[in-house]
Amino acid sequence: MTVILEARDIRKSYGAVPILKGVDLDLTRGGTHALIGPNGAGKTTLFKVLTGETPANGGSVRFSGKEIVKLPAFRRVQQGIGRTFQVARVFMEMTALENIMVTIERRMRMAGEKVGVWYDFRPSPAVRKEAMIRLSEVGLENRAETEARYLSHGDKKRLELSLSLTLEPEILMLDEPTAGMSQSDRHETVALLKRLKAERGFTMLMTEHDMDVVFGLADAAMVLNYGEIIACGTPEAVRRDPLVREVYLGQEATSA
Amino acid sequence: MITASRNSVISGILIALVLLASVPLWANPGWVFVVGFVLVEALFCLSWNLLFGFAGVATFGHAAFFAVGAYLVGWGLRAGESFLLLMLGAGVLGGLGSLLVGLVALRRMTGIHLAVLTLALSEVLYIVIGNTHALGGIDGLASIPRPTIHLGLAEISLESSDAYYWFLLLTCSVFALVLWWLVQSRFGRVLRCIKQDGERAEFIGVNVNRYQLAAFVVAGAVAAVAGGLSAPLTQIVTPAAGYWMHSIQAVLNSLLGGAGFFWGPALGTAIFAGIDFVTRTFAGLSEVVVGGILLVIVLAFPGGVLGFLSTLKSRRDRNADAAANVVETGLKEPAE
Repeated sequence: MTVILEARDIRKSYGAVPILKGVDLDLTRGGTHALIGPNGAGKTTLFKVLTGETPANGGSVRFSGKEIVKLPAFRRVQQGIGRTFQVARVFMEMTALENIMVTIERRMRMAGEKVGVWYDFRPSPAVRKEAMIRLSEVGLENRAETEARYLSHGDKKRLELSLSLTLEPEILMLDEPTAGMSQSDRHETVALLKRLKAERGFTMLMTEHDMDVVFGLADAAMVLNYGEIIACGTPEAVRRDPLVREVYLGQEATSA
Repeated sequence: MITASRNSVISGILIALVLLASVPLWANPGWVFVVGFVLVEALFCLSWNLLFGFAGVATFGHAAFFAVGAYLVGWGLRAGESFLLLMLGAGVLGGLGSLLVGLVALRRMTGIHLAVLTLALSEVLYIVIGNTHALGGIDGLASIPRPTIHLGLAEISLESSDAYYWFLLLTCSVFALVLWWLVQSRFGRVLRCIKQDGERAEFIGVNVNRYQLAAFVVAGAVAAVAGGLSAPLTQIVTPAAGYWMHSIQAVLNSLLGGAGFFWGPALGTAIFAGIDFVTRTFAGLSEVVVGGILLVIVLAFPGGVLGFLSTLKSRRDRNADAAANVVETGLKEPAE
């Protein structure tokens, strides 16, 4: 398995408070990786550093062999890194369809493809058609003309997922993909992610608190505690790790 | 639904253009001047709202670019320079000026900090102009002649107020339509993304800074063009063109008409001008009426006049849908 993203000695402090204390992390191409750990462990900060939302204080991030640690977020997106947020972030005053159409146009622009005639003030029929297909992949075809702000929490999450995948990223980083969802929505989301992952073959990194989701999806897990990776391996191996049980999973994991 | 609304906008624009073009045929020269002035101010406000309403950038110093255009054209016409070249120069200078300001300001600050910085820069320009002898100091440049356009074999004289008004209407309309197209274009769609969620826009691969800078340059250039058009209309340019009150007027006009709507600032400008005209004989009353209306708008209809009309329309549409539902199903409430 080749490594697609390699982070070494990532350090990040907010003022005098160190959040990440030299994190090393490898993502294998096509793998599904889970980043777990207690609240305040630095998962979201690590996510932000990897996606370029926050600059690192030190260390290196190599993506497909290229150093990207100094690149701004939009350049990393252009290289093939996509992300979703803990609380879904989409363009709320646009319809679901418009959200996807504008993203398709961005992807085409980034790939240097002809998006349409310069004077047209509407997306082309081809873009609209693709957007409808993308929406139907996540079960939102009937909500295409609904403004995103009127969508339910679960639908917003699905729209954000579709939006992120529309860019055809090589790595998709999901920040708590099932946060705030009901049990049935969680099951649906896990099934949806599995299906999309199988169809597209992208590399996935997610943070998640729900261990059912982690064990249902991930083939590798990393445990972050106080800004340091304390364990990594298969989810089963991580679950059996005594240190992980002590600081994060507790006795629950042993009986799970 | 979208087509119907776009058709009604196009019909509205055409009717407004015909009505505006006919003004010199039935109104006295005073009215022609006032309407011409409103056209220039409307274009200025539309350029400001490209930033605020569509790119999510608030500036309080937009009048500086207007002043740059007004002074360049006023000074050049007095020196006998070509009007069209001067107008081109106004646009380029406004664009370059906003590029410089944008490069410094947009990279480093957002929100209120950016607004205050632009306000401060425009005040600096106001003071510099007011103390520059070559630009007439605090009295400004007076006796600016109306131009004649030389087109090789033909010449178009804009010396009469009616001729200049029609030229003004044509130029303002063309620039307003270009801005309108820009807002609807791919560029405009990306700007809307930035306004709604800049961070998410970045995560669909948008260089937010570059797009905002481009909008800043376009807005500065159009504001300078509006300023350039104003010089031969009023035939005097004073530092007040770049004063902060002028910038704030663009903010108020846009909020009154509806900053979320492309034509909102133009409507707001017309309404403000109407109030000014009606209350012109009562010293101080204009400010009271305008202040009162703004208070009502901000408290009751934050979307401005067009926002209010749009709410009424969607309410009417909902009622019509409910009525259709009653006819179709015979039920007043949806069945459980």
